[in-house]
Amino acid sequence: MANTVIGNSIVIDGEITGDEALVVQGTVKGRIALEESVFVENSATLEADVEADSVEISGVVTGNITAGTRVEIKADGKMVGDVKSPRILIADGALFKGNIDMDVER
Amino acid sequence: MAKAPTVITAGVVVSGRIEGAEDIEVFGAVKGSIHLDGDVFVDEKARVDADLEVNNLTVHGILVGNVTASDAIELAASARVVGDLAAPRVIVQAGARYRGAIDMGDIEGEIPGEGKGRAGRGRSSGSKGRSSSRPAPSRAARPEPEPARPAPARRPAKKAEPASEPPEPEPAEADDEPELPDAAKKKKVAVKKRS
Repeated sequence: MANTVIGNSIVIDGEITGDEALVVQGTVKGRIALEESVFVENSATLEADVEADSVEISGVVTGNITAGTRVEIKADGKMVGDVKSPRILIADGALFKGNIDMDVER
Repeated sequence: MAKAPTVITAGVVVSGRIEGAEDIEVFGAVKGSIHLDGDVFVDEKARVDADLEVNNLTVHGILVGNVTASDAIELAASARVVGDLAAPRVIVQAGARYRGAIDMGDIEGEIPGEGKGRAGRGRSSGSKGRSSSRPAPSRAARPEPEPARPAPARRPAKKAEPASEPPEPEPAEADDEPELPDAAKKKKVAVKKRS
């Protein structure tokens, strides 16, 4: 596996930083700062602020997200928090509460 | 447990507390603590600055912290480890660099004549200076008190011999006087043996 994986039963209370892709299946509380993609899978719970290149959400996220390229909230994704990213996709069925900032230049 | 192991790749740093019930493979860095009902593997290029509570730990890289494992801890040849290790099984491969204390728990049952050693210890505690200087290497020194044990056993035997003779008072006094130096000599002998 090339990605960092946080497995189903794992709970991380703290900070994850680095320059590799991250797959979260478990729980992360705190902060995630990566220069790569973050995948929040079905079983995952994030109570964290996320800085990443792109974020894909199928699980539950509580926290603010800042992405370099895109944020995608999939059909089974649930998110509460603010999103800042040039591209934001919210699928039909996704739950979202918060502000969106696409950094539009007028 | 090992179906989808949690992996922390090189270039990723996790700082904080990690909990869970599955295996973790570390190729990057972890700072903080890991409490796991599972196994932890630390790769050759990984660095872990954390206290660990796991089932099994295998270290090929750098680990700084105290480890408690319910099963085994293995330090591979490339491991560099600083910290205390506690586990029923601790394996240190040739080439591993390690500093710290290892506790494999209650190993008394495996030492032959352990009970005697304890009894000898209890008696030797009469000489306070020695017993106080001893506590640290007590386990290593445990077999040593045994020779000291027959020494006190001989004394009453010698006493019993003159006591069985009819003229008790005079020889008893005479015996007492030489016996003290005898006892002192025996103690000194015991001292030499111990040291």
